[in-house]
Amino acid sequence: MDTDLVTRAQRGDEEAFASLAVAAGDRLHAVAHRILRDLDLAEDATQQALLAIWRDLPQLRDPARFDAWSYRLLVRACYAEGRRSRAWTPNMRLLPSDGLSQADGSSAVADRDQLERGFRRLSIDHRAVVVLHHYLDMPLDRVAEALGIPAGTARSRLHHAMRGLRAALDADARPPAREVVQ
Amino acid sequence: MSTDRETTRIVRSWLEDGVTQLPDSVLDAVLDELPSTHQRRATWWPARRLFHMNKALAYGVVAATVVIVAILGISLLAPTGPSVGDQAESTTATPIPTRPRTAPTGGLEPGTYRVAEFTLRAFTITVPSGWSREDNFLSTGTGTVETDAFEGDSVYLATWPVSHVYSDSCQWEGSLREARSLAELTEALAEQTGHDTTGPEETQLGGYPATRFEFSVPSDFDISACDQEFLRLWPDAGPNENFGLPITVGQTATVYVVDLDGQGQLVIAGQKESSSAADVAALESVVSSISFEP
Repeated sequence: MDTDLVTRAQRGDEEAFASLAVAAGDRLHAVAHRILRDLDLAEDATQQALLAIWRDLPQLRDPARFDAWSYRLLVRACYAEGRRSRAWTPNMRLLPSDGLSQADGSSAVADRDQLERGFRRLSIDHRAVVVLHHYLDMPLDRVAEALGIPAGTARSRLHHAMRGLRAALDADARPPAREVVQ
Repeated sequence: MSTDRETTRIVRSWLEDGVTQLPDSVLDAVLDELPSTHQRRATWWPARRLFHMNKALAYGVVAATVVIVAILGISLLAPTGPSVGDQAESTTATPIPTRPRTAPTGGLEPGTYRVAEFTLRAFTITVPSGWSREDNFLSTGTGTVETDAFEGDSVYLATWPVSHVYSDSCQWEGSLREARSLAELTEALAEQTGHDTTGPEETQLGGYPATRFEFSVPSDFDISACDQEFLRLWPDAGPNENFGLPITVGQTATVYVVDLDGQGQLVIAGQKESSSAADVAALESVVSSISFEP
């Protein structure tokens, strides 16, 4: 990130911030979409995060830390959107599609369905660690720094989340059993 | 059953799917709102609020403090030199020194960290549970980007390289005086007005000689008479007046001017009248754990 742009935006330069928003908007939106699993919620979260970035930018003491700091504000906006919407509560359960089997070459689709379900059962805390680490390739110590949590907490959240996702994938390999919509 | 590696591969591939572009309408909506969205000025630290300590955290600090005191006690009571019979064993058991990890931003796990930023010389420091780092501040609680300086009763330790000090911490605007050398810095702090001062007192910190001051503002102090309704001790080096250390009513800042071979390094321990005894004890143990590298 261009630290000169950050510095200018910190001083209230709207043009500089517009350039920053263009540069950062896509990656923030991509991350929000992967955390929230909903386009509308992701757009709202990204919008709120960008406004929070503008509002709080003068308080960012080290412009070189802009990227990590912006993720922290984005994840906070994702929490807010998540709380606001009940559309993806972790209790939501979907019926598996009939006739889906690994033998017919659709195992990848089945994996994705199961992952989607497993992921939606995770809290935003856990999703954020998974997305920052596995989507952005961010090392865990930087994930911890971005989210403002101890490195051990980031490690444990990732472990817990991946265990849940693995269980979701393994569930697909077991004999099909219809879930009951609650 | 999936292996861990397989799961990771599938998850990574799955995460690749999804939008990668922010719609223009969202960007436009943000830019449209800028003129009516006021930026929060960082006229003083902490720009980030320090949360009140919850009970569980307080118990954690108490427990950690007890452990630290116990370890210190054991190390003081333990024999300091090897006996004749121990000689061969102690030669082989000497631990290989490991470099402490760098203190990251955000929540810290209890332990010893190396800090090399916002200081003239790197140092190590040991923190109990419940502490976090934000820029040059180590403090109880978790930082957030909200404003409202010094809300709550958390304690902090900060290090600060400075080039200027305000002559008056209350009428601080336009009162900067240069303080680049150790002597100038010590003198400027001794002569600073606006708050109550105890000291100077000669002491040691982190293995080096230091001069200690205690700056405080009584609870009944009328802060509304001060510039921008807060007191400020100094700005960032430069001077960069976008950031600086405030002191507020009911607060005490113990300031050490550490003599690092002729250069003055500030170390500040801040607490409020309302800070808990556990927090204050933890702060004292954190201060005493500082060790500057040679």
